[in-house]
Amino acid sequence: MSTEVAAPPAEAERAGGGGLPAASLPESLKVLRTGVLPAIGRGLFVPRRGAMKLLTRLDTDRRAVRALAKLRDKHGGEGLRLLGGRIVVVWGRDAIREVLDQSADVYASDSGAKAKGMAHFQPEALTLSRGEEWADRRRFNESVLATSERLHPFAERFLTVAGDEVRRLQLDGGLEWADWERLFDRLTLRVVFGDRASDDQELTGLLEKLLAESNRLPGPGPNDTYYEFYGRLEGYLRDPEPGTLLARFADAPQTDRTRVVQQIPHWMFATRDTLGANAYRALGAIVADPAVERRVRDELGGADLSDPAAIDGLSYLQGCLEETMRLWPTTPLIGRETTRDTTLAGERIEEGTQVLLLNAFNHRDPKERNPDRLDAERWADGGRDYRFNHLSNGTQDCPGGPLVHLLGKAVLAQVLDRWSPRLEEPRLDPEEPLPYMLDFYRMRFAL
Amino acid sequence: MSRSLSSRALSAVFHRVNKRRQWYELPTVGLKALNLLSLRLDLRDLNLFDTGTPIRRHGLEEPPAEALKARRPDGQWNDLNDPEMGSTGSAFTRNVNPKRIKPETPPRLHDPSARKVSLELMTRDEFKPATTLNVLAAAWIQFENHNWFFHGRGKPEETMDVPVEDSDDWPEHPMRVRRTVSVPAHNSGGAPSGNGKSIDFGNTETHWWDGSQLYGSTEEKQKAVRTFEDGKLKLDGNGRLPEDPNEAGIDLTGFNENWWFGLSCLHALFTKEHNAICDVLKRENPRWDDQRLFDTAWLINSALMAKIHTVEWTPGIVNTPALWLAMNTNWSGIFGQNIKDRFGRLGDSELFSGIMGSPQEHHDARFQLTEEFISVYRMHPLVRDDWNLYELESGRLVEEKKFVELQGASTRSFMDKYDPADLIYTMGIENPGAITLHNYPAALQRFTRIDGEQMDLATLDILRDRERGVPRYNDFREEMRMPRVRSFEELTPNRDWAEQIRRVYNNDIDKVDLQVGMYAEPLPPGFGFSDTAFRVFILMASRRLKSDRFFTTDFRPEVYTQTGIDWVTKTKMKDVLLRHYPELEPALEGLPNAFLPWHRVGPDGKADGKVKHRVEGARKALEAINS
Repeated sequence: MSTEVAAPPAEAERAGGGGLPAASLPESLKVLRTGVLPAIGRGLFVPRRGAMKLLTRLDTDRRAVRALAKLRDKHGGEGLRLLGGRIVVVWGRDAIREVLDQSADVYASDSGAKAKGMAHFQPEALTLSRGEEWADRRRFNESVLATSERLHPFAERFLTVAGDEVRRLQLDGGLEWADWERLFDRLTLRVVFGDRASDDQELTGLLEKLLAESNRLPGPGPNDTYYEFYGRLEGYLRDPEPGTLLARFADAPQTDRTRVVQQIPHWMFATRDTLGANAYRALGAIVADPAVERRVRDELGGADLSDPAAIDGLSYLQGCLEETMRLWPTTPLIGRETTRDTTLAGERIEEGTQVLLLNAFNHRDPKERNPDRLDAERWADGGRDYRFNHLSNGTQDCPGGPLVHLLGKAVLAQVLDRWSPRLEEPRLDPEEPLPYMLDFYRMRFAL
Repeated sequence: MSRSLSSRALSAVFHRVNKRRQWYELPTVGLKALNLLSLRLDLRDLNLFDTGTPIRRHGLEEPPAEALKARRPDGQWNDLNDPEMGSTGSAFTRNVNPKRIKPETPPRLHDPSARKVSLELMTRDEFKPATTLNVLAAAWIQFENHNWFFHGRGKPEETMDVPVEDSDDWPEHPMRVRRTVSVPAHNSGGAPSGNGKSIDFGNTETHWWDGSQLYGSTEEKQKAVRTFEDGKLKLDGNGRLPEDPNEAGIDLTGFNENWWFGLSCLHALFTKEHNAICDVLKRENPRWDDQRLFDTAWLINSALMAKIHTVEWTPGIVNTPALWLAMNTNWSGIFGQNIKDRFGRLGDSELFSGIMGSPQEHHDARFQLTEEFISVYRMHPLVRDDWNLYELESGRLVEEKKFVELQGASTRSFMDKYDPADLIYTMGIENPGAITLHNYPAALQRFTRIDGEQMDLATLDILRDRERGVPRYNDFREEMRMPRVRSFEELTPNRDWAEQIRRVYNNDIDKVDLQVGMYAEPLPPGFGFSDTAFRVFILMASRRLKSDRFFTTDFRPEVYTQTGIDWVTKTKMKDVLLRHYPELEPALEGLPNAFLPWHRVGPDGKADGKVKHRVEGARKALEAINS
């Protein structure tokens, strides 16, 4: 499905689908309880292992989808005002587009619990910036990550690294999350910092510690871990290894306000933790369905996996990866805060309103086509859909998108090329709708 | 080195405490002061090094009679067993173990170029005032530095080439900077350094706190400033210093390098004070000859300047109750001056009754000032570029000038147009610059010396530390037993600065120069300079007193006269100012400390009330401590 041209809000309203009706208090509480709380409970950055297990058992996302779908059917509209309008949940494609196309400016991403948590370890990251600084940092990120290019200039080396790391996997009969995590850990370190960093477990450890702390919504002010972590990042910047993201710094547009070192952690956890989990789930979803796996393997047939152009051409595999991210969004909730009074879906909302996009609902809305199936064709023409925001959309979409696709596809292709993994746990029945939750910590493959 | 049980115990306790909290973060004044005491004991035991020559404990010859009750122009015979100690020309020593000192050579010497550091981190973007101080405080510290140390001018043919960017408009590429001249081998013990380079550089002045900026550091200099009548120093008819016959526009005094009107005012003020002391001594001792009057007035005047520095200037620039307590304790003991006046010393303890009058003691290293001490006194951001000059009587702004117009060869002609009290008043009410990054006076970044040589003092401030092997910031902190900083953000809460420093030092926090780190780090409350610099002060401020026979063993009426002891004990900076310029009274009225901003005088000749309010708190606190 390609992106539809968004109707202007006024037109949408005339069509009867517009507006932001107000929810009653019990309804508001229900949305918060089913849609928002679990997203926070699982851990804002790194899903907590225990929380993941519990929430999966409770199948909280199913509850969220049901509750939201019911409310949407009742009220119609582009979204819902909660608690007298201080919070707005948005689900309409056009309204979402309004929000995301004006992000970092009218809709700032630097507030709320997630931002507070992130500020603990990257207070001047792109995602926490607004205005001039946001534009400055965005330019830098886009340059280093080569957002506007189909293939990153260092794609060839990155593929070599991915190949190396897949070969290094020591799989005695099975593949578990620990193996996969290790693979993505090393992959991330080598892509960002270079080969000399591939064993820098301490660096990863420091970041993981900071991430865990930020999950707990820590107090103000940097701590020892923070300074030690940034000291190490600075250390790698002294003498950047060719072919790494750090090697792109010298030519990237930057000012003193860019805070280049502060941009690094996001790449680290987005690759190591987020892409790692998504690629692992994708592997599971692919091999669980013989029809999907066959199509992937057909596409792979004879492709030179060290050739960036070949990897770039794996569009079905890319669709599978996108679908995995849609089905099990690692970012269950996107929050924005209005920086001034504005209109959304034709209605006035005040400055300081919290605007929430519940990916868990939007991605699985029963009104979408095949919400609960892996439907890679959905992405066949490379278009974007403002309802599916695993890489976000609009001005603040993920500047690492192309790199995510490249690395994710490279690893999946290499693994499928070497092995024929079978998903042992959990069992996914290709005849049944895919489950709302998929606990990657507990996924296990036989080879 | 053996350490006393109590100092080891204190050290052990505070070592643990300081891992989590620095001394100024402790809850009470008493704990802070105790922590400072512990730091000083550690510093004394662990940060005093002779570069070569050990202390001589048994004299080889009898001291000359004239050295027993008087200072010598060249600083010899202060220690009666070790006459060379601290004398003119002797080498600076170290607060860092010489084995770990590595005078830098290229390429490290220029990594990064000191000129780049100057331009990118020091350049004053806008004047940032130190609002708690007045310009008199800035002039004072230069006045005192000139008492303590000077490395000399170097030789024009021995230079270092500082890399300069193509786009830099500096006239020479590379920038040529004279090397510091090493002391001749016979003046140093040939101390081995970490990389075999000489680390001994000589002081052209005496190391002692002996007023040599007024009295000179050689017999010849001293003769030039004396009248040889009634012990007095030369002043002209208008109460100003005479002109130096060899340097037009500059005053004749003990040390007249880097001259400007602020120094001229202070030199004249304390020259007057000297002569006033002579008048009183002569009245009380009509039969004393010129030499005795001169020697005694010299002792009293230099002790007075040391005291003003200790109990007024330092608590002014380090404006926190723990320091007021600590510095007064240094001088007169924890029980205060009143108890000491009434009951005399309570034994030899410097803690109970202060260093003044306690036994002379060098703490196992010859007293010589240290290179690190000099480094932490690089405070050029204090200097203003733009000057507003006021008339005391009306409070009227008379004119605005640039620093270059008030200094060097222009000094005397500029001052001719003013009454000295106007100039002192101007310094009293105006703020100096804050000692931080991006506040280096433009006038000193492109400075033409009186001999025509062009220099960038900000480049020099960086280069001198490197050349002399003063460790860079992180290594320096480690030597002072302070935690190293791990990242640029930890160095400074100012994120823009952190980013600029990171860029200049190519991400290597360990390369950051001492000066840059000190100018960037967050200051403890009330501080006018960094805590890192302060560590050296803690040690050296008391050592300058404790090692000097005339502040310790011989700070007694038999040497100073009772009048002299009282003069030193009872006089404050304000008294000196008002003795010689009584018309300053309205601007100084009620002020606890002459280095805080004075009252501005209005057109009716009366001081306004705003400043009074501002200093009220400080005044009460100082009164409480002094009582």
